[in-house]
Amino acid sequence: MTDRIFTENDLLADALLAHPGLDERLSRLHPYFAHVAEFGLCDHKKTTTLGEAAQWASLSAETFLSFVNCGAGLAVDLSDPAKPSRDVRPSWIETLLGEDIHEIDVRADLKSGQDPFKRIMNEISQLAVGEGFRLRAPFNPVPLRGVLAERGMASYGEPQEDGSWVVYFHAVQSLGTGNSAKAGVEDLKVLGRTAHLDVRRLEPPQPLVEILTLLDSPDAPREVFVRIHREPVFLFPELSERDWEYEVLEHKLNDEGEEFLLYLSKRRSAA
Amino acid sequence: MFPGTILMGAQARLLPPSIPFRFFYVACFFHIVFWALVLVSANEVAGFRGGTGPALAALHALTLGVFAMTAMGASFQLLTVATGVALRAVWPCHLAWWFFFPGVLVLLTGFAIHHHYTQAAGAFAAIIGLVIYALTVADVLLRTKSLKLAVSHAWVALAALIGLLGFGFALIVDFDHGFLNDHAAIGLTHFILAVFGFMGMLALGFSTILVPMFALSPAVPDKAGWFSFVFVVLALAASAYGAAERNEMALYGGLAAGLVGVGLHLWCMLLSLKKGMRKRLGISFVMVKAAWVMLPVVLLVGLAVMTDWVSVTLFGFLALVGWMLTFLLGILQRIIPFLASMNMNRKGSKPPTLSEMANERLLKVTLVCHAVAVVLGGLGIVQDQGNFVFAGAISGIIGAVAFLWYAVAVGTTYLSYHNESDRTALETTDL
Repeated sequence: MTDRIFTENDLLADALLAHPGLDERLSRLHPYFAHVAEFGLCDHKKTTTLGEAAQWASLSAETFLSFVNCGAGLAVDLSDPAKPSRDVRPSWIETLLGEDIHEIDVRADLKSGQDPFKRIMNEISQLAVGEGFRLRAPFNPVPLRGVLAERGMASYGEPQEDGSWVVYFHAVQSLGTGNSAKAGVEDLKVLGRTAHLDVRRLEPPQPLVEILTLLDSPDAPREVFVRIHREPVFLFPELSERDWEYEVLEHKLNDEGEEFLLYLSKRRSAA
Repeated sequence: MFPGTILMGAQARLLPPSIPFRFFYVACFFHIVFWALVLVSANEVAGFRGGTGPALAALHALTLGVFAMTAMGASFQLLTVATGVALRAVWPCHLAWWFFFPGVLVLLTGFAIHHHYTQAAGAFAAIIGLVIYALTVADVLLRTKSLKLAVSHAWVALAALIGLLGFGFALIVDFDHGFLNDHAAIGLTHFILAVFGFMGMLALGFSTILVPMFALSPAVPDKAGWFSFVFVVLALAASAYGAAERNEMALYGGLAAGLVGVGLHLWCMLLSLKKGMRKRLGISFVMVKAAWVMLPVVLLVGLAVMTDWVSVTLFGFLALVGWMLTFLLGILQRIIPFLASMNMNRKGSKPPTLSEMANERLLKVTLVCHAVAVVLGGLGIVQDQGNFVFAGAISGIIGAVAFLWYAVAVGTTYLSYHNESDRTALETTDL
């Protein structure tokens, strides 16, 4: 599980993904969360931030975040609901700031009516795992953060006094297809015990190899979320061999075929 | 979804376990039958040049009973899992089985007792079974968008299968009616299409998926894989043509192309092992590696046959027993527990691991006995000594029984796990 405390700028989807039991806890707050617990988040809600989700529950952001963070098993001082959650930055921000971080300021682009998406995508295509950049935007670019999260970019946003936003992006996973296992290990270093792997574009047996490379690494995570485009039945005996178990969290059919979201974890008796 | 749940229904890739396992277990049974038939016809095998009798029955117990049976079970299950394309229905697998298995039994009986109508009836049923199999696999291949290299191998294998079935039936009819101009040439073509075409192409194609998967290594290099494919297809076409037409140039060309193609294939395989995360591959890969050594040796022996240095019987024996049977035993001992484990993961409780299911002692017996059988069988053919073949067959039978025992032990573990899981589930429901 991720060690850091969630803030209102974090995505609800990330929180639910990182903490599988959280959806049931949230279902006590509002019927919509019960729906999420049963059927998962629908696609157009995947960019919802925790701050926005707080409004569904008719709660203040602070109260809702306390509820989420406690539900995720993270220590939060509930006696101080006014505690500013934005003070809790993910640890990778410090790593990024220690380097010569590249900044993209899209405020002028947006003001002149230009779409900065291509420029941003060009920037991330040059990033290696562990690298990142800082984005300055006139608003919280939630849809962009959702899109980049799908491509293995973690993000953290901070509102500025002038109303603009600074968002840090960090490549925790390979953006291409070649070295996602390595990316997973890098991801592990950042997030502590949870890794995310996207092996959808890989040909067999590469997904199997990538996943098992991660599980067999010396710093293996405790749990892994895997996006994969076929039912990985070859993987399951290998998981048993390593005392891991799996859960199919999501299965969908789209134009390109199937897609699965797997949750892999050490068996409780072995953990 | 529930933990450990594999999707069932229309999207399911895993067939009911009884389908692949019935093919694998019967292949293990025919493995014993093969050596038993070699035992009773040891003198005939040592100097075998064709014609019906127990030696021909032994040959087909191996090719149809062991090889084709394994290929059918593996294709139905592993191809669908690897490609991600589900079978449209399961009934063709049952239908293929109910034609093929009795067909092979009847055909072997017909060969053993020199009864032409029994042979024709058995061959007819077996051919129907294989055609159903070919159509079912072709449907999967047509819908597959990935694994182009393995799929291309499978297409060539199916084409070779159709050819060998035609030649095979013609040969059986020819035993009674004598309409073929050159029975021996067609027999050799049938052999080449069966061993190097159908089984060989499937073995090479499946290897590009299974070897990296077992060794946990990257996929085989694309260019080398495709070059190997082109060369082995050229080799197959040239050899089949050369055998049918008794064209020596084509046969030499086929052998040369085959050596290049096989060389590239083996280079890809060794690269996979070198890059693989899993270095300890067990007895399974001792046999697979031995088969890899045997493959170019077989082709070189083929060259020696062309120059009349050795008999064609030795070439056939080394190709069938030295290369293909060794390879299949290596792969099968890996696949059987793997498939069992895949199916055991459907249940919630912890299944036994692959290593817990694999009885290494039995596999060691199989390995040693098989090696002894290959050496003694080969010596017996070279020396034209039935006694050596007889001794080799005894060793082969012991190895085959050990292998069947191994497979049954995996099946027993599988059934115990299911019974235990069902009992636990019932108790939980009662609570």
